[in-house]
Amino acid sequence: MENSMLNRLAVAAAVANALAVSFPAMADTFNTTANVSSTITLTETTPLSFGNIFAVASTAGDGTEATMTVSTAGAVSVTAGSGDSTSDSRIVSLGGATAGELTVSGAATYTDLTVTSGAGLVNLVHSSGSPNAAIFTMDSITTSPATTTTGQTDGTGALTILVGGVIGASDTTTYSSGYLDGTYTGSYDVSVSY
Amino acid sequence: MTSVSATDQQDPYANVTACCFSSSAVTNLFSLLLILSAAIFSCTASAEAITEQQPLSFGQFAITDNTIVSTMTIPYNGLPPSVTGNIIPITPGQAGHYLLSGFPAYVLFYITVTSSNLTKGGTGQPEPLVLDNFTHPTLTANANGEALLKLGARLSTTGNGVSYVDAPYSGTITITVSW
Repeated sequence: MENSMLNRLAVAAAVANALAVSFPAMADTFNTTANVSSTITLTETTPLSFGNIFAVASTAGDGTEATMTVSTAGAVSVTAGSGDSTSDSRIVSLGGATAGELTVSGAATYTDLTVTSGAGLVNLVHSSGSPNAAIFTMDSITTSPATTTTGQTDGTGALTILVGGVIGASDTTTYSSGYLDGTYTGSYDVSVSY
Repeated sequence: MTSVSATDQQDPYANVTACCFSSSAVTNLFSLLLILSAAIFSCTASAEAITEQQPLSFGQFAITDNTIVSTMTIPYNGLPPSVTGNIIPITPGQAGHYLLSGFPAYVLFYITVTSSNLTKGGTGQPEPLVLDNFTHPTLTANANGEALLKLGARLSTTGNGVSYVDAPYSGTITITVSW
């Protein structure tokens, strides 16, 4: 009987091991990746520029400012100042104005992006920073696609946004020096989102 | 040597183990069987391998909002990914391809996959991306004991309102193959 029991044990062990061999398993571990990129890259490829201008500020501060408009297509138009008790402000375009061009890149392809602009306008001030030098007020900017509307990215995830704007000549008693020769700069904000 | 009794000879197990042995001999046989089977298993296991041919990847995408659970599912069969919620694919992901080799010919594989969450830089920092719903076709080894495992999966955002940082996210999957 002892042998019989041992035999059974041996067979049981063999069967058990046979079962283990019949259902072996192996495992290995590998990396898995994802790349979150929710931020859209917006690059200024052409600055919005009002070119060379002749400008006269009004120091009366009681009239309507002269304005200059550059459309998103690059077309230029001006309006004369009026109504001042002394002399009206003036802007004369001397050429070189260009619409701005912003480029979205790295976004999802063929996807609508919402363009938003108009907030955060900063006036154009002279490079000297002189507090007495007249400034140009940045009255508005326009975009194509228009603000709060959507534009669709192309097959590479790119979208071009054209930017135009309106500046006004100074019509205030604040600045005693009028306009100085030189470069006037300011900034504006455009944002895009999915 | 101890003779086997008549009872033992009628025992069907005795026929399997064959002949008659002393207690020590049977014990030795028992040990031998264990060693042999372990050796066979060991030799067999050493030849098997799972080799990554292309990693499982969810590509590049934007998550515009995490106030709801959003998902991206990569099919194992190469079809485009499907998304729900606020995930916007930018560059496509891909199913994982893993070559199973060194297995017995024509065996049916049983595949299980476990995973960690995907985290920023694989460092475990929040906010995690959750992996689950792994998919693959029924898989049988060919005459050479090989098969290509194509693996799809679902990625989910937490939906708890916490924003995801722009970054590469990574984690691990463990593929267990039995046959």
